[in-house]
Amino acid sequence: MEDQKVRILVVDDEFGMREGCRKVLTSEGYEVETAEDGVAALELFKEGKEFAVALVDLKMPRMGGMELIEEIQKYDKDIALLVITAYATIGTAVEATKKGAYGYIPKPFTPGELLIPVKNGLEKRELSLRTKKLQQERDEKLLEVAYERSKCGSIIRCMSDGVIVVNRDSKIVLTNATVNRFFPEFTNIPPLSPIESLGYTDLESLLSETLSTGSYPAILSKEISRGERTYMVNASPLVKDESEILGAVAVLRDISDLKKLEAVKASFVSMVSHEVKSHLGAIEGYLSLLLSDETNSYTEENRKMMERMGLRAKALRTMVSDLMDIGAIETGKFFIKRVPIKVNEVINDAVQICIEKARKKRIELTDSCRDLEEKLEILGDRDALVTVLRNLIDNAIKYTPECGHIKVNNKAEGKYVKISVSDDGIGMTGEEKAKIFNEFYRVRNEFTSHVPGSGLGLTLVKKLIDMHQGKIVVEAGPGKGSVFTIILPEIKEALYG
Amino acid sequence: MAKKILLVDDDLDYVAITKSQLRKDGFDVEVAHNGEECLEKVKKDRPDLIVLDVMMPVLNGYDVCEILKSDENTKGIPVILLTAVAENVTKTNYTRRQGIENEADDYVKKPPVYDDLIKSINALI
Repeated sequence: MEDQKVRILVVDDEFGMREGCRKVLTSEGYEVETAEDGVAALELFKEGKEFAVALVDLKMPRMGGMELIEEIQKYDKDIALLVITAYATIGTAVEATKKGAYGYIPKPFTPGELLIPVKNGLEKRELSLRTKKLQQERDEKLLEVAYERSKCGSIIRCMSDGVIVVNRDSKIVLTNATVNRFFPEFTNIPPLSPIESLGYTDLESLLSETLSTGSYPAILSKEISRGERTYMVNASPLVKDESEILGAVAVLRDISDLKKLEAVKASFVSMVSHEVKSHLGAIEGYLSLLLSDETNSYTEENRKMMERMGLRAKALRTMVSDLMDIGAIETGKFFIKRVPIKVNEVINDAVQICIEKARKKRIELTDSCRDLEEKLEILGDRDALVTVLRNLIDNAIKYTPECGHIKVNNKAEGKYVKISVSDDGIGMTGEEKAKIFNEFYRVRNEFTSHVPGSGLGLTLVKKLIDMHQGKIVVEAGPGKGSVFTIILPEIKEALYG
Repeated sequence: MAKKILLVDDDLDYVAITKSQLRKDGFDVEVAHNGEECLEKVKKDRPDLIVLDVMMPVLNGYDVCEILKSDENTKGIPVILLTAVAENVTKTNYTRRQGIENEADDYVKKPPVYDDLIKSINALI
């Protein structure tokens, strides 16, 4: 509540009347000002003074009460106007009320007869002020809503990403200008057109999949291509109160330039790798010629040096090969053969390649289930799978201390063939486990610091296994060794499943 | 009599390396440095097997192979194509799918690992 006293104006040409009212009202705690006629009263309003109530005598020189009532309302619409008059007739009362007066006090009056209409007038004024305030607040709210709505609309319209909103029945509710630029077919569609009417089956299936997920938050992503452009579409359900699905919203981003860059990168990597590889091959070739030439009499030390050179060149060439394969897979230029192959032969080949390396570290490398699963076949690319196993065994050798054990196992399990490479080496932490398939990632600690590698082996393994519709699973703990298990569809499943 | 191998590659280092390795293994080795030279040498002195690089100026390996395999006189000579990994697999896939007949008898990745090459040669001769 305001501390300020309620201000009342008394306008009467009789001094006794003015002062009498002042006395009564002041004693009730009101602040009172007086004026001797309408002109003097209006002066006060012109000065900017405000009053809650005005008591106005009807009969005054210069400006009478009726006129004053009208004038005052030009300054203040909410003021409670009370008419005081000795000529109390129904007619004047009605007239004054018509002009905007709230009440009517016949002269002479007792202090009580004055105070009651004043109090009533104040209440009325309070009410009308409150109503006015509410009205104003509502208007402001409406304005705000309208503004927010148009702001949201502008934001969506001006976004550089495309936005498509569909309702639960896969009918288009909203598209923004960017979508229309991406897909001109969307420009003049009538509201609530079904999305399938536009022939964008990839977009349509993504959205219907999004609508059927039901869970929140869920984001489904898909790359879709139109002509030379590629768009990344992220779709999520529109959910109300975390349960009811209202529709789905798809955000489209033009990633054509990124794609182009990716292709340039891949072809650059492939070109460089190819060049590097052919030089390395020549170095290796000459070295092996020199070493195999018995007419040359090298010292034992020189021979060792040349052998080391050859090993290093070979390691580098393998690394570049992996890089090339990854590059080829990424650009879609790598195809695998899908022919029936015996799992045992693949394992045998890989083990043969690695056995010498394991022996040098006095690691026992065994493939145990070979006899049992003689007939196990899968559909795949022998070279690719040997590369996979070679990489896994090679890693096991790298991360297993001397005199450790490595086992290669294979078994049929339902419709699948499982091949696992397990070691009792240094293992890894959960965090490391999550990253090992990332390009160039290498586990770093005091044991691994001297282990050479590019961080590409497992990336390649993962990609090759993906191409075989397979899966690779890792179990490992720090200091507890690692088990890499490849799961591939068994041949019958791959052919007819 | 020693079997005669025609080695076709424009990379002189590879030719030198492979030539001496093959000679050491008892083969008689002829060398050509491009596709045209290869075709001429085949006509003049028929080899028992051709090792053919894909990436060559003038006539590339695929073209040479196609010419050799569609000619009744040279059809029977085994051809090993030396290709980069990606090309290799793409080509085999391509030919298998398209059913093209004039295919090489084997493919060896380039740069060739001598063990792979000799394995392939021994299987074809």
